[in-house]
Amino acid sequence: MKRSIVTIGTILLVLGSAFAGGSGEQQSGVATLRFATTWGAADSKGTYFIPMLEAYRAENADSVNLVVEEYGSDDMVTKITVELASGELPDIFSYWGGIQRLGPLVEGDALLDMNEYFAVTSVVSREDFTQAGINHFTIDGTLRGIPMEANVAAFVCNREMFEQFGLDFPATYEDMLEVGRVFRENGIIPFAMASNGGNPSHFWFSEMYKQFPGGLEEIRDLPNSRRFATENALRVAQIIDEMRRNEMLPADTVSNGAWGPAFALYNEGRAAMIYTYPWMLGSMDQQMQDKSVVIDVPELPGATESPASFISGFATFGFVVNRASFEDPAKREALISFMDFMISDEMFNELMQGGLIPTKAYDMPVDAFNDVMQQTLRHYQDRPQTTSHFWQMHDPAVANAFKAALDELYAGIITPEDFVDQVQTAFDESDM
Amino acid sequence: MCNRMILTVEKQKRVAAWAFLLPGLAVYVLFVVGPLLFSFYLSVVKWNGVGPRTFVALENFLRLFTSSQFITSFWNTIKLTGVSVAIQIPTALVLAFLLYRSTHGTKFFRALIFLPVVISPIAIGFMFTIFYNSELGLLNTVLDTLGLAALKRQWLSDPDVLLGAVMAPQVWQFIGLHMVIHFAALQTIPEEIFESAHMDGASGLQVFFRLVIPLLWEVIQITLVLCVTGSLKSFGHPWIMTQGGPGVRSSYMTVLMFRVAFLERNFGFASAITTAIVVMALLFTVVFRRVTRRESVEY
Repeated sequence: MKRSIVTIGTILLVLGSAFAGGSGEQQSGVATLRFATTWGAADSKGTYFIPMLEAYRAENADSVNLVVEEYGSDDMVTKITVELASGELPDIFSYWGGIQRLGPLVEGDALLDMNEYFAVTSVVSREDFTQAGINHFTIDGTLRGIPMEANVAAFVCNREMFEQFGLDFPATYEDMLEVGRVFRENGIIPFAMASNGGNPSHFWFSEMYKQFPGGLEEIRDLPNSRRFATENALRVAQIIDEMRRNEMLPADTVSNGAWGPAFALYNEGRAAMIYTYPWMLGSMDQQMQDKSVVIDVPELPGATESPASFISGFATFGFVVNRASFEDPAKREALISFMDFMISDEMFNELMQGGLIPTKAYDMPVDAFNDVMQQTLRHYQDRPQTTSHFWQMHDPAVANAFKAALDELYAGIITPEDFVDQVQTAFDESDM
Repeated sequence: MCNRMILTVEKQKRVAAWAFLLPGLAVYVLFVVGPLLFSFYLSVVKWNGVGPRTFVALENFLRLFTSSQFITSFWNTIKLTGVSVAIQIPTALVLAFLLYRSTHGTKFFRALIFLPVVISPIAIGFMFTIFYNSELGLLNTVLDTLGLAALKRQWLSDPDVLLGAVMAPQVWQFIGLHMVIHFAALQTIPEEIFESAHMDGASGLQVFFRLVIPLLWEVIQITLVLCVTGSLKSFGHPWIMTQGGPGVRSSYMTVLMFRVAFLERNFGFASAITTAIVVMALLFTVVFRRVTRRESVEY
């Protein structure tokens, strides 16, 4: 009996010491930093970003134990939501700006005021970043993250396919329907636009919306007006429905939805046109880049705002820092050094090759972009940037209702009227 | 003196029993009972993951009855459970019996049928997403080739076939699990029973219905419970294939719970959904055990 109690006691002690040893992992002089990012294997920037991180880890092994965690976009949101609730946030992590994503982190007082970093770093100042980027990461007057990535939407056509059938690039919606008819008859998907989880369809919805009377202002004012059910919204939903019925879109809008599958249809030569963003353009095959032409979004019937007069673009991504980690003396220096590295010119130069448009103003080597990105930037340069519905929906429940309703609209399951009603109901029920 | 010694031995036994039980019990309480209780607590508050939690009593539970999203997800889950029970268990039982009776290739086919079970639902989900894809996938192409173009569908967009298409991979994947359990149970039945039946002139069907099913009844009950509880907690396949969409048309309760908690940050309502799943699983197990209680056949 005595022996068994001793044995149990020993086991408990061993288990106890194992748990006790699990959390610290702090060797003398080496700070452990947990860095979570979406710029891994699933992102075109990962090819350039991950080797940079590995090089940094190797060079600074005597002072930093850098633990890199890679996640897909949706998984990142889930991870941060869970870790915020459990008080286990990474020390530093890539994240979106805007109140919808940063709001809970700010509410939980989890984020560093980045002015504290700018006050101590010697390599960069906040004036080095674009004002749009700084604004996107400023919540309630406080800068909560460092913007790294700006974006601009691109409407891209496969020149070879248009030439093959003697077609001109579409300047208007009617042109688009016309070329679409020819492509469909020849087994080509006219337009690689679909909807799974609201991607990439929610940006396309806003893109069209902005052409209609007062559209830009209505989107800008959405957080205050909370009025989604507008004449413009119905009109855009009707156009989407019409595109679906005219077989302009992939037949199966769910399995061909989401960023990757929709882009694959174009990149693999199955679709003639695509509306997409740099995080996909960065991974376009060279062969496809050679035959791709960036054009203006076709003008819709009844448009009052020419699509050639604006671009849809925004600062989306950057990184934020766990306030508690920054205040931890054991991690502070390592964090500052890593943040300096993250926003170094060298880092931006590398990321540009993966399609990132820097939010940092410096003498950037524009030829580091791939061909289609260079074409995109040239084509849309000097146009004012405009935001979209998604970024103006501060309550994630509303944003998700919007995306879910888009999936149903694209699949032809609900009518344009139902779509508008569903999203407006989500707004009405929201208490944010 | 003797009585005192017996008491001491009894006491020592009890102490030893508790000592052995405690670590397991502690882990169970910490990782099962604790989270369950916490989840129930969250279901009576309003909480977005940060900030204060506001007590809302039964508001989240009442919402279960009025939320069209929950009602759709609930019925989808019931349909999945029904289809799984109706297809998985009989198919697995028949396959196990056929393998048991066959003299050649038993190991090969057993491994082949079991193989999908060891593959992650995420991988299976991806595989079927591509398989179903009308532009790039194999299914519609095969139907075309076989002259069955009339059967072609937009498998993940057409509401008429969507739920069935999302259920199919899961139902298919876990047949092997139940087959292996039934097969193992069949091997414990003494061979003489089957030989006697054979000598008495029993046909294969008679052996299956009169011998196999009664003798395996206890095991079948276990696989039924596994099948139902597995269906109630199903998540991976629909999440990867459609994220429960379009809308919530292919969503099960677990998928809705995940969306509500992690995409909409409504932990209170999500916890009410979790509680509903737990209650359903418990209710089913208790009712099922009572309904199916009968003397097991001894051999």
